[in-house]
Amino acid sequence: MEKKEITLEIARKYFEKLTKTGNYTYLVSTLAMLSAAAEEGARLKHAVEDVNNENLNEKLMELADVVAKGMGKMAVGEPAPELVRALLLTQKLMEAMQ
Amino acid sequence: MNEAMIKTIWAFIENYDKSKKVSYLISAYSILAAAGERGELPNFKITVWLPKDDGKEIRWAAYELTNEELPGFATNAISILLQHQELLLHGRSASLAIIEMMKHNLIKILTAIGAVINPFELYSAELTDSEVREE
Repeated sequence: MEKKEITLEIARKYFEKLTKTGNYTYLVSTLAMLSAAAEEGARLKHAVEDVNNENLNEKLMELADVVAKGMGKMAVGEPAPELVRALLLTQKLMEAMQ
Repeated sequence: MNEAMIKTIWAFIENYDKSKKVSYLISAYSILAAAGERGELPNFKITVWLPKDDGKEIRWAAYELTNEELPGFATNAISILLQHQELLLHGRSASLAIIEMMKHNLIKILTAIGAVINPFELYSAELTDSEVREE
């Protein structure tokens, strides 16, 4: 198994942990693993929404930013609906990355 | 860096995930810094993100990090974590975002140095109550 495939596999396991526990800190871990996999050469099989292989790293960073800030809001009881969108987009990106 | 140290770092990350106690991330960065100072890390170059916090809005600055710079980066990361641990205790929500991003950076560093033992194997290997009693 290639290094990037192992990294993607761990990203998937972190995502599973997120869906089982509802703890968004696992979404941060998932995105970190996807970002690391991208640096190791993982690419999208097809574009997902406005994300393609040219802007993949940048978009993963934007997602990490959204999630980190959303968690900050949740910590003080503010609603953070952007977390759900980030979760769904992360899932699509993870499924499309290889 | 040996396997025991790598497992310890992943266990610290898992403990942070479960407890949100920043001290676990600080411990993880401390181990990495020590390994870096001893020259035990392989060559790598990755992009990490550091906060440019003006007290109102958090912005991120991209930073190209290499293995040689890791001890300095880890020290800086620990300083950021300590500062925001304190601010978080005083109810500053933005600090949690910064702490989470420092966790994001930590995981990227671990992946870059090949310390990607599957953390889930580590978690599943936790001792059961009966095993603990036997010991």
